[in-house]
Amino acid sequence: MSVLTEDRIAGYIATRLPDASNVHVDALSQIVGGASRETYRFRLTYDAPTGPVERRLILRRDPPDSLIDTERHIEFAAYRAFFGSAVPVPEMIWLEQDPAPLDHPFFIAAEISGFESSPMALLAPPYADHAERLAERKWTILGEIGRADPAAVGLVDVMEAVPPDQCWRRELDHWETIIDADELEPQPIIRAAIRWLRAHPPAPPKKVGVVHGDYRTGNFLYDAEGEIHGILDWEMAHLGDPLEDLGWSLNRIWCWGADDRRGGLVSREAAIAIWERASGLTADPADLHWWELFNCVKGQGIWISSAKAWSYGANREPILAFSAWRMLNSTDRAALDLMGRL
Amino acid sequence: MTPNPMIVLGDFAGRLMQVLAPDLRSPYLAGSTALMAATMGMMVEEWDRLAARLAEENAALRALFAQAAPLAPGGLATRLDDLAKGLDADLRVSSLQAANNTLRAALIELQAWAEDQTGPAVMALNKAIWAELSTSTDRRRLSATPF
Repeated sequence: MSVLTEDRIAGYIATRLPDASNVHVDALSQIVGGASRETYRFRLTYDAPTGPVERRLILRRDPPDSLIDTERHIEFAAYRAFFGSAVPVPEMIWLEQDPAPLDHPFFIAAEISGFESSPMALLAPPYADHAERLAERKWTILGEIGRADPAAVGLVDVMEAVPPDQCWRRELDHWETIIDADELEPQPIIRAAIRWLRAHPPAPPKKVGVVHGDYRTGNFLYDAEGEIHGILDWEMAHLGDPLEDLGWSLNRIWCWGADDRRGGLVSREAAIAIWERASGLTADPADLHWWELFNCVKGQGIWISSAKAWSYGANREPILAFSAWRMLNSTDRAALDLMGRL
Repeated sequence: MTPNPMIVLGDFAGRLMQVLAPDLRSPYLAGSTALMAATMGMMVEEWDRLAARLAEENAALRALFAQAAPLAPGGLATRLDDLAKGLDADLRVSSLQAANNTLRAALIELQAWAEDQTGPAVMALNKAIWAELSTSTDRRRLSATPF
């Protein structure tokens, strides 16, 4: 991977701001944990015709290989679709799909700074005291995503359409194909789950909605009063059954408190009730169960791809080896639990 | 001195996490170092048990295949019978893992066949397969995982 420098970023931004002068970038630093994109923060200053400007920005660049292979223009569009809505997201500024300027495609966004994102931090004071409030916000915002009209927010032109009765099949086919291609060892538990899922498909959703794709504790910014200030990591966003996101958010692998609180926050039942109230949708128990088990397949697809990318040297970021090893067995256990076999 | 990998890895992981990482000015390097230390911590946990859990699991799968072979159809029965007679003569982890991969691949085939069958013998086999799969996650469980 080539070196990203402040001068290279400033040079690129100067081309996007033809009326600006003295375009300068400093305080560039990489953020750890960006498993699907390389993520950097930096400070931008320049002189605009209206006066001096200073902004704190984020740059997300495609890595050579990642946990998740996705199109950044879809991620960019998803952020833009919800900016200024009840779903808090950072402002997207520039999308660059040409690899020439910085070696790989990237986008630049406003930084939402001063908040916590660690799943472990919310288990301790001062955040732990506001777990219920945070849960209310977390699943209310997910409900807002689920109730959004994809056409009204401008995403039907960007995201691949899917008929309601094909939502489950498209996602299951996608992740099974990834597991087929990337598994380094046989996966008997997840193969059994896939067979069960194919034999017991869920009912089509009442509406095809926007699916965030990775909505979980760890992918939002929160404060010590239980408010959420930014929903991040939309790289797997797509159109589909809103229950998909709910199922992922409830997965036992995100029970950071090592107890039954989903996302380390509240009970499964409480989370579902919040989501139903906010989305105006009903989480049919059988359908939700299907999507919860499906999300174990999806999770395994992510960890298996990560393990392969790291093992073959395509991407040696420690997060890939760590997350794959740490999560593979937990995800198998979550699948067994959902199949009543643990 | 015969190096004890658990002590070496554990000590290095602790130094990386508690001494080196806090002194690194770059948050990215500090975070990456902490992740490497945490991964080494998982290696410490896995090191001592790895060969034992693979040998135990391989033996359990061979026992399952011995139970399944008389019930399975032609080609599958022959393969299961052959696998059931296998032995872990080479105790290197790479050899044990290769055998485990072969056995777990056959387990997938066996379970896919068995779950479509009826009758008390196959039902008992199915129950034994699920029990083995559950046990397999106990063998692999790491203390620092959420579930």
